[in-house]
Amino acid sequence: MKILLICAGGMSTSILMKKLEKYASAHDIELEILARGMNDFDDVFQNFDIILLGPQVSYQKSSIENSTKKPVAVIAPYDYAIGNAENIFKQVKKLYPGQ
Amino acid sequence: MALDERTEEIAMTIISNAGAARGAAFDALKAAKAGDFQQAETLLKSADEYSRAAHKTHSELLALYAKGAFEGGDILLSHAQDHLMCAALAMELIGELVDLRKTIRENAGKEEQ
Repeated sequence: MKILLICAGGMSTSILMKKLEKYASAHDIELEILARGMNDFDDVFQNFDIILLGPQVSYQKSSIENSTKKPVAVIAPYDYAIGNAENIFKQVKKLYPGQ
Repeated sequence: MALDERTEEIAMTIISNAGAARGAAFDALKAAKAGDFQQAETLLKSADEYSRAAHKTHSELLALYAKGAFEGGDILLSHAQDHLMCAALAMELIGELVDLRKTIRENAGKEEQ
């Protein structure tokens, strides 16, 4: 599946991205993932199935839903902090049950 | 845990909690705009709790630094502190904005009577 991660500047989601990639390869999950900042995803979102937001941009959820028409979810602060890939993939499955 | 793993965990904890605080503060502003001041207050309280958690972790970081555990200069840690300050500013200003909207709403109510 293809996941776009968005946070304020794209820095902390880059760290989370590495953790999710590691988990996916250890669990045979096919994953294409990219981390971008709030002002920097217009040119790429079309290529992704779902969008996950860092807690710092949670309040932008409805505006991102409206502008992208993609399923959007906010990662829980605790899962985000420790990079709890298992929980995050559970959340992804709920959002995108086809996978 | 190696120190660089520990500092990464500290930074990510600060970013998540400060981020959640900022997010809740902006949601409070949205609620106040919609006239739901009770919800705004609840969200500002929740922002405050996240912010406290972020500051607690930040204090741990400063304690590590004071002990000479590392020399600093880590970009991710600076980035985390940036988030902390953004959240603090957002909460302070949004608290005022919510109050302001409330006062305007109350005054408008008085004029109607």
